[in-house]
Amino acid sequence: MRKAVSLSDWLYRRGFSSPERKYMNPDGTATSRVFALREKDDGELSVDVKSLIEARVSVGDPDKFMLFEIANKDVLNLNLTTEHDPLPNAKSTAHNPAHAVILGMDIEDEIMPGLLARKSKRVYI
Amino acid sequence: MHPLIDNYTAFAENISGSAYSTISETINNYGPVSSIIFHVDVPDIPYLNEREIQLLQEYKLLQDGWDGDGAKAPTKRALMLASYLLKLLQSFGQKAFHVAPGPRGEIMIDLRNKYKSIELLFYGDKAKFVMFPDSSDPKQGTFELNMLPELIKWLNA
Repeated sequence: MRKAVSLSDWLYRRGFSSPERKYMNPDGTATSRVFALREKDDGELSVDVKSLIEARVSVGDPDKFMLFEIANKDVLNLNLTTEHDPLPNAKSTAHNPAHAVILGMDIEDEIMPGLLARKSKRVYI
Repeated sequence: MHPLIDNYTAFAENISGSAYSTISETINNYGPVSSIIFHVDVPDIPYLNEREIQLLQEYKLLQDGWDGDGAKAPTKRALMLASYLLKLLQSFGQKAFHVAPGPRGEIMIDLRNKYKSIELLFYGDKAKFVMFPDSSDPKQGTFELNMLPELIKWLNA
């Protein structure tokens, strides 16, 4: 059963990064591509609820991924919604009690990924 | 001298007026792009976007699933157009902030000037631009090459 994520919570989103970090911006911030939807997302961008998971767990392999955080209120201010969607669920057998989704994005909308990236901050593990 | 010049923006003193006017009048699709090379007064900053051009070479090697989450490999067309744009921007004296692959096979070129930025997105079958102003709402649209001079002008204004 999904529930809205608390207004005061923060969300984690991870992005692929090499040791040279060439997939991130030169200043270490997230590119818009970190927050871009893909077809298999079915319009739901996966994130983790910060209060429910350790950053080190959320990032998985820190040699391969960078972690970014964004305030849920910033997401909601963009007229998006967020729902806590713990895994496993009907679509996934993975185990992640902190999993949540950002709803309301359109895969053809290139503005929203850029805005989310610009509102996010890198989490140093 | 143009205001608001920093490391990521145009070297305005190296941009000639003829580059702006010639391109905007004659180019309206990707077909005749090579002809503009002969109309642009190429400034002597050959290495301005070399880092980004080198990154594109590395992105050519990416395969499907490169991000561990099902991202598609960059398409040949996206790589080709991004490479061309980086060189064209270089000829304008416009530094690219970054170039990055996306999950749907796209390549993004990011141009910045202080709090303003432009993203050029090249997919296999389309190209888009997004303008991020410093205070008002962002704007997106289909990118065509004849828009480039105006976009750069807006970024550096």
